[in-house]
Amino acid sequence: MTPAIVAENLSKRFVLRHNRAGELKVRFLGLFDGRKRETREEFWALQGVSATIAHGEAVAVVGRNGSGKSTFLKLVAGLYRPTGGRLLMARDARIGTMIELGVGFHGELTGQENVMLNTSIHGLRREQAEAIYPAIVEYSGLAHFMDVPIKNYSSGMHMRLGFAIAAHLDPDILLLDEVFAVGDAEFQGQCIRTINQFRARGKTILFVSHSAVAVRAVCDRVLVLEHGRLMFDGPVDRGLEHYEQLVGGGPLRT
Amino acid sequence: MNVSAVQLRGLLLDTAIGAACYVLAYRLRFAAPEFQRFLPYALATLPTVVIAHALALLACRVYRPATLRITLRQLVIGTLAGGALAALLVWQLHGLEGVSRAAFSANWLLLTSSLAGWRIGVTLWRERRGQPPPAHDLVDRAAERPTLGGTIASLIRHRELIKNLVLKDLKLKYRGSVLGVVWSLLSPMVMITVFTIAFTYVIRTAADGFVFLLLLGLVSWNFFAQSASMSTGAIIDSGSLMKSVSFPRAILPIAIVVFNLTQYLLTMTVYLPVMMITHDVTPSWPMLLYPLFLGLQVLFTIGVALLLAAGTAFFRDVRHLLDIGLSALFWMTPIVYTLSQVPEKLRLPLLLSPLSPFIVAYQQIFFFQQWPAVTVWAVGLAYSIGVFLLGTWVFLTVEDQLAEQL
Repeated sequence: MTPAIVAENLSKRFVLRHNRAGELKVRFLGLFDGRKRETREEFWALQGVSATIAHGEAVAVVGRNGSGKSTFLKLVAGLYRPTGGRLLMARDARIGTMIELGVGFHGELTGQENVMLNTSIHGLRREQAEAIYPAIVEYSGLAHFMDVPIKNYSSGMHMRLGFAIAAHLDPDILLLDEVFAVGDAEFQGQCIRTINQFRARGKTILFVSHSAVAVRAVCDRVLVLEHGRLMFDGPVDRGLEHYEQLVGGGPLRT
Repeated sequence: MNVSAVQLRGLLLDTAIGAACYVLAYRLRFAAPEFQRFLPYALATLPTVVIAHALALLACRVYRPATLRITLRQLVIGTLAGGALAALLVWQLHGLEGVSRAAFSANWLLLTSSLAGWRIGVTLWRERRGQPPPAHDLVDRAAERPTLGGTIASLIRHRELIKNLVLKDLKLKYRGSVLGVVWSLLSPMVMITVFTIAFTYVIRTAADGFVFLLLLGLVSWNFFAQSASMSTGAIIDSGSLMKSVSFPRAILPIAIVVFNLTQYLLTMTVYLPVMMITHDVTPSWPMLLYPLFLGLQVLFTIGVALLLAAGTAFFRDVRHLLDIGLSALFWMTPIVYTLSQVPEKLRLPLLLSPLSPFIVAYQQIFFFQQWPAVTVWAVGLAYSIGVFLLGTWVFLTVEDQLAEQL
């Protein structure tokens, strides 16, 4: 199996800036008053994480809030630059991100205009966007509303259109950040089916989730993160057990 | 040192370009008769200058890797060090007689732009022919630094996004209004009428053609000022986009400049014909230079927009500083006056105000129907290429920290 993502000793440090000196006023006051001065605190969101993810693998990343799951995803997505370590990926890998649905939607524009704008944000050319447009409309079930400004959509419609676009981008590596947890059962079911179709087509999936059901339905391997460190890397059942112990034996949200 | 054929060809091409740039710089500095007098000095110092530049580029390891890539850091430091070394060597070997500082500066700009230019061209051409560098190998994302050619190539790949962002802004601007685009054509008509009445009947001291020059300057100024103040929000107002989708961030400020360019062009299509007819200005050859100077202004504006967009992400004060800066810059630019009305001593300082060369050039080609002076050329080229490169460099250096600053 050829690796799709190789993380070697990957680390990410954030600098927490109290009294953030983004304003000159703060800098000026800080000269006289120590309490108003900017203080910096280092925070390691990820520390020495090493993992190899093969092509076609579906890997879940679980952990408590603030354990570094999303940071890991955003490093792979290229949104943040690692502070240390190496992150090896193919140069031409197309990475699809579902970190937040419907980002970049503009309320005044119609559904159709938003689809065209959004697909180009994800790097599609016009012909490619036009080719997948009918499928997006059908998948979202919003054919009747495509010429309506998106500000008139319900939040559910908003989400469905966002997911429909993301589902048709056809990336090699799909990064999911539990985007559909807020939807109803039907929507969640549709999302899981779609992700499994990606999997059947041999795509690599990285899935951040708190939901044991979703993880079992989609993934065949689990990474458990705690305080930015990798605590467990292995099969789903044992990984979820490990995670359950971490959160204090309480029942998992299903 | 082990130098492959590709790298040797690159070095030879750079050397040839360097020689051409140096002679061209002298030609830009001196008008025809003077140029004849100074040419021997230029040719005498030519080998020294070219060798100095080649040495500096070699020291920056431009020819080390097997690719043609050059990073912005290598480009800027390599050419600056080369220029300094060249100046030092010329001073020691030839003395300073007949050596022009202005020509040296012009040489640096020409050299920087052409060294980057041919590499970008080759990169793009290869990409078009489908011969990208090996792509399936794993590369370390953490160690990759953006290169100038790579960035411009990815901007061109994302041109659809630039177009769509501009279309979005246009649609949002005109949506819901009855007259739509007509508003953008109507407002210059109203401006022309109001200014003409004001300066013909109310304020009668104005010289002939004052309204023509005033409006020409004002419209070009507005293009710059609007782009600059809108670009401060380019990054910080797209927080959620920055935190969830990866694309070349430079697109956001660039799309703002292009949007304002469309507004400016709409205004110009009304303004130019109307004013040329009412002021009896007949089309003439120098007007062909308009697209060139407009292109330089766009390049300059993009550089400024990149600096402001990134700057605001780190310092929110940039917005307020810009407001003050713009109002000061307005009066330092020959819009309400022309350079010929200014005391001799102040002309050069005012021409060096960043937006002056472009507006002076528009005044010269449209109203006075002259070819722009060499100084206007030199300052305009210097600002547009210099600020564009500076803006790109700064933006690319901080690009991957932007998402964390929001």
